[in-house]
Amino acid sequence: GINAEYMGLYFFEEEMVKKFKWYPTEDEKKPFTRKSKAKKKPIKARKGLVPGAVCIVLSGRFKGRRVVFLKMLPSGLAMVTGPYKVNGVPLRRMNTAYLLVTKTTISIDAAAKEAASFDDKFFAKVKEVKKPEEEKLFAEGAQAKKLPENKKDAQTKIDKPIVEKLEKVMKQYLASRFTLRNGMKPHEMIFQSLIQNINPSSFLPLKKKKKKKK
Amino acid sequence: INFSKGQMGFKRFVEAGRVAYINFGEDHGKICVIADVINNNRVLVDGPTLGVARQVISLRRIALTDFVVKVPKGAKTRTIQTAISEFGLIKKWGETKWGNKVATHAKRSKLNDFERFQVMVLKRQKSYLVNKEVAQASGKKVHKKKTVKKETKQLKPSAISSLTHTHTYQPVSYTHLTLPTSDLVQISVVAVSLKKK
Repeated sequence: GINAEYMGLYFFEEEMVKKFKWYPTEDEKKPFTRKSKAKKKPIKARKGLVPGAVCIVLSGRFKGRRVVFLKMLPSGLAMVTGPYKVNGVPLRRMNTAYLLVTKTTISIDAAAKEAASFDDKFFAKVKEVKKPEEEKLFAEGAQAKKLPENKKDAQTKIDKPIVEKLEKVMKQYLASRFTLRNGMKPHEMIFQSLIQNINPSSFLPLKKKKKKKK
Repeated sequence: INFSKGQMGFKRFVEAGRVAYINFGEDHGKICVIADVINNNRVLVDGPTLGVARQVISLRRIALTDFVVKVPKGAKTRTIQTAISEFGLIKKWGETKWGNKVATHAKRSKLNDFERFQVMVLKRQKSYLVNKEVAQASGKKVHKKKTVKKETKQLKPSAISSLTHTHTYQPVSYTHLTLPTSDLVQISVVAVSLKKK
C-alpha cells in the first residue's frame, strides 16, 4: 500500500501549469519612458555669458579661437560667430561647456537683432536624398559640397555690423589663438572678475577717539 | 669690545620700526612695521593702513627693507599709524624698485585675457624698437619686418605704463654696449636715429 505520509511530500494540491510553451532565456528590455511628463529644464545661465561676450573655444575644430557669443538657442547650444572674416569661425552652434567665457564684451546691438530670428533649424544638418549605388558610379566628377546661399547671406548679415565697430586691437585679439606657454598657470589666470577677500578695515586708518570731558 | 652697527657689515636690522615685506602667508605682498622682537625667530608686526593686522610673524616669512620708521619698541597700532603717515611710507615704498615690482606683479596677476593680449602686443612693439636700436648701435644690419607697418596703432605711453609699469617709462641708456668713448649714448624707445659723432 501507498504510505500517505510519503505521498504528501510529492503530491501538490494545485497542479503546476505552464503558461507559455516558450520562455526567453533573458528578460526583455523595455524602453525607458517617463511615467510623469517631466519638462526639460532650461540650461542654467552661465556666468558672464552675455550677448557680445568674447569666448575661447576649448575643444573641437576651432579650439583655441576667440569667438563672439551671440545668443542661446532653445536646444541649449550657444550661437556663435568668429566673425568669419576676422578668424575664420563661421556662424555656428557650440556647446557652452567648451566655451571659456571672458570678461571682454563687444557691442553687438545690430547683430543681436539679426541673430534673434535664427533658430536650431537653420543650423541642423540637411538630410541628403540617398542615391542608388549605380548612379554614384556613373556620376561625372566629384561634386563639391557648396555652402547654401542663405548661410552665406546670414554670415555677412550678422558679421558686418560687428566687424564695423571692432577696433584694430580687438580685431588682432579675435584673430589670435589662445595658447598656454611656459609659465602660464591656467588655474591662476583670470578670465572673469576676481573675487578678492580683502578685509577693508585693515587698510582704513584708525578712528580718532573723542576724549570724554570730565 | 665696542662695535657700532656700521662696523657689523649688516645694513638692515630687525628692530622696532623696521619696515618689512611679507613674503609668505595670507598677507604676502604687503609691507608692515616691526613693533617688537620676540626671539630670534619671531617678531611682532603691525601695519595699520597697510592692510596687515597686528600679529606675530616668523622672520622666515619676512624680508627687511631699507626703511625704518621712528617708533618705540612695543608700539601700539595708533603710534605706528601716525609714524607711518608722517614718514610717508606708502609713497616712499611706491617709489622704490622693489615696491614697483610688487605692484606690477600684482597688476599682472589680475589681468583679463584681453589685457594680457594687449600687454603681449606692447611688449612685442617695445622689444622690436629696442632691438632695432641695439642692432644699429652694434653695427649689424637691421632685418626688415614685412608685417610691421609704420602706422601701427600703438597704445599711448600712458596706457603702456598703466599695463606694464606703475611708474612712467624712461629712456634706457645702452652705454655698456658701445665701445668706450667720451660720448654718452642714450637711446629712448621713441627716438630713431643714432649717430656716432
